[in-house]
Amino acid sequence: MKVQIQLNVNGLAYKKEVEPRRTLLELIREDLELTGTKEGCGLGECGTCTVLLDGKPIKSCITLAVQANGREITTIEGMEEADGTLHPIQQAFIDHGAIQCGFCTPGMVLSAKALLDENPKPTEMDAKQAIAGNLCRCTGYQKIVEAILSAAHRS
Amino acid sequence: MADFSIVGTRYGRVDGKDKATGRAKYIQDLKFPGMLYGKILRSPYPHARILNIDTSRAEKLMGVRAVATAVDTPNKKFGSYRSGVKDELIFAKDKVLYVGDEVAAVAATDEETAQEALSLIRVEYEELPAVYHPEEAMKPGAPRIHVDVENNIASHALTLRGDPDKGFREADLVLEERFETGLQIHAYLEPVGCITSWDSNGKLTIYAPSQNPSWSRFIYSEALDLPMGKLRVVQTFIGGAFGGKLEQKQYLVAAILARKCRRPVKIVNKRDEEFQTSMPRVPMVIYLKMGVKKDGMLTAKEHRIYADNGAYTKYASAVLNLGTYRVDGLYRLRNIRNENYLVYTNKVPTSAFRGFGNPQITFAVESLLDQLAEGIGMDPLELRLRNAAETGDVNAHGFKYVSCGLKDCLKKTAEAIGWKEKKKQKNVHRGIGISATSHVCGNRSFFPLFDGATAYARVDEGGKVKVLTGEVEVGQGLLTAYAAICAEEMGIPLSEVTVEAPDTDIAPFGLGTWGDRGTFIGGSGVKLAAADAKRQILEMAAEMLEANSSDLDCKDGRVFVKGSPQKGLPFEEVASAAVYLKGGSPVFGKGTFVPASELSDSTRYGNVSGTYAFGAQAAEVEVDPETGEVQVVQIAAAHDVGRALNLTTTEGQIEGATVQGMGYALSEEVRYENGVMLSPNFLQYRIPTALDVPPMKTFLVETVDPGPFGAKGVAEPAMTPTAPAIANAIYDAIGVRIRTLPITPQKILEALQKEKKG
Repeated sequence: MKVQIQLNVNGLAYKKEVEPRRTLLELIREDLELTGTKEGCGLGECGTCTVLLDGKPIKSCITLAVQANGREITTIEGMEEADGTLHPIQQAFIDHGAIQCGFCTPGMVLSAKALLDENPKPTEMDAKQAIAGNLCRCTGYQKIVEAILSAAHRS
Repeated sequence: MADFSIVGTRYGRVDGKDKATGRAKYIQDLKFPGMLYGKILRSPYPHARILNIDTSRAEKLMGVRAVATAVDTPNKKFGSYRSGVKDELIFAKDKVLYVGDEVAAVAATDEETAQEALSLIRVEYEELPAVYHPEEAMKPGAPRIHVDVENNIASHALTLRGDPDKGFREADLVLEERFETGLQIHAYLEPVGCITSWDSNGKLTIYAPSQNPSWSRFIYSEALDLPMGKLRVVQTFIGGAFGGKLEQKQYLVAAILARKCRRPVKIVNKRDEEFQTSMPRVPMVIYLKMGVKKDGMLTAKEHRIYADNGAYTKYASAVLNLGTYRVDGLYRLRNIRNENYLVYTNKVPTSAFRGFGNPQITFAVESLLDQLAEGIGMDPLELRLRNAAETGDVNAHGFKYVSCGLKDCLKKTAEAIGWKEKKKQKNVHRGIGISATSHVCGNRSFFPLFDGATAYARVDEGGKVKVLTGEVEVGQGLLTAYAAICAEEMGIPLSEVTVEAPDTDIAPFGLGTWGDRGTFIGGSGVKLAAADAKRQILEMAAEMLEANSSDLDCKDGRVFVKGSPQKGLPFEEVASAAVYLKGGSPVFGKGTFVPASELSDSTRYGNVSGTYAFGAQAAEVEVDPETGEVQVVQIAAAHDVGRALNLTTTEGQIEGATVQGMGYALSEEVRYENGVMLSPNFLQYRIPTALDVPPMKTFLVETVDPGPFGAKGVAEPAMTPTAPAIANAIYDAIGVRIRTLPITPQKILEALQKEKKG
């Protein structure tokens, strides 16, 4: 039996009928076709599916779509401004070489945003802790941490 | 330093914006109309006979469009192009050889239905005795894995140079030790996937994150019994590869399903399938013997390796035989005996992974070097410097080192880590260690048909340049490097150049991304193509300016007369004229680079690469003797990169590789019980997180090299020295030497206790 939910994704309101067991990741990727959010493990271990739920980073592959009922979601597609200007975090990721294969990037950027929204002047350790649940196999993290600290400085 | 506009500076990657905004589409993001979803039924047993497969119930499930088993395939054995060993089928027919072996597959309208259908397939198995370790598998009486292979030995090779026996007699100290390296999983974050589709003329297209689109078709062609001309591979964005995205059996399974149901079929691995079946690093048992004189000069080296092939050979024979002898040129060794056994076991098939055999053997060699140094009372850094290769050397296997910054790399890392001071004044439970490495930049013997790379540079009527190549962006920054090479060569801004991912119907035949060849070989092809396109542009401009083309040049997007720079034209205007005034013919530059490499002879002697990469790393660690935990305090890495095309991405390669090396050294461990992998997830298989990573200092050592603007490769060698540097630092910290990877807290505690008991 399907359940009706209403949610706000990247500033747009949606009304959807979903199976109770449908994950938020499935809703975002398949029903809303926002494929910037990635599936790396499906078990909540890698962090590539990270989105913001009412501003807090969560792993959407182990969150049910119904848990998002009445709440606000931000995905990577919601980071740019309407005119296409990149969010300072996105720009810092590009400038600092924090992106290689790019598969972890959307989740990383959102974890970084959650950090900077709450703590605009993070230390290096704050930045590392904020992305500790986001695995990256390419960069070795150093340039990601540099990018986050630089974005904090910029904004 | 030469006067470059782009090369050698810092700039963002050309695919950065697509990746930062989530616009980059990976295979999991793509869909075709009418597309079906495939799932693979895998063996639950490490070794068993297949008695019967009943698919009738699965076929009747609503939504199922095709069920495939071995009967739907040509049943022709195939294997990786290089190995020459044909030991695989698309689906297991008579026997399954490891937990994960493909037995059947389903295509259905959605993933859930496909998954449910798998549970309705009845396979009757008769379990057989299995064997899991190469040294056990070689013993007489061990279960035979492939019926036609005696003692489970997939390959055996012996290489002899000089007179090792004489070398050992001349040594003042000879040491021999046993080392063992672990099964490391690539753990790229994007799971392997594909969409396969057949057109009405029987041509197959595979959309996939392939590291070697052109050449992988040899294998698909063989396995599917399909002419190469009927096979097209289109590369999609790759979410990390590290050697793990060469040929995939999954694509063949999807192709069989798609043919059967006449619809496009998509398969994407689940993460546990990635762990259980994704062709990880070849584990090796290494018996290593080396001799040294009192003055620190090495006299001989001998190794015997028993490598764990897993159930099928893939690239493991090349990893073993073409990968593990590179270390012999790092130091000036002349007397060498190498013996390699590749042995089947009932485990996941192993294959290519960043470093390609080099991390395994280098761990052993660099560990034993420290023991030798201690034995003769010499500083380990000094011992390395005395033996280190230099520019102009031809090593014992025929490698010609046209440039070699090894000594500089060793000195830089040692200085950065505070080698002298820390060796003099030791802190309790703290230690430092150093290790070096050398690598090829392309490997002539890996693909015997040819070495080299071709690129096209097409200039359109708007002055935009499109580069086509057969080489592959895997995340390392190849598209950015090629755009930079092209823009620098043509004298136009970076923003004017785009580089296409290969589509084998359009791109030149390229060997793909492996063997550290992308920058050196592929990049050289791009530079020549850009030069050819620029020549055509200057010829057009010469007509327009009524000048000699040899008097013209182009810089910052403007063609001008060298003698009177105020006389000139925008690049775009010349490009437009070249198209509109020549019947629509675009400026089409073509470049082919063939490195000065040679196919090695039957003893593997020969200069297999046009140049070689070198590097060294030093690590400082702190060990907690109560818990056995190792904290890496800092790592310094210096690599001879020829010339860095982009400082940011070059550092990024070194940092990322170093952290992979750290995982290999300390935490990445696959545990098996009776052939079943106990750690098929990221919770149990621990790749480093942001919190595990120490401060890393990277140094780029630049040498004069024949590569594009002098560049050579760095992505692979940067992972090799990390584990031995850490192992040597651990010994320096606590006085016990661990000779098996990974160096877990448990191993450290056991070794410390053993030493206490004395």
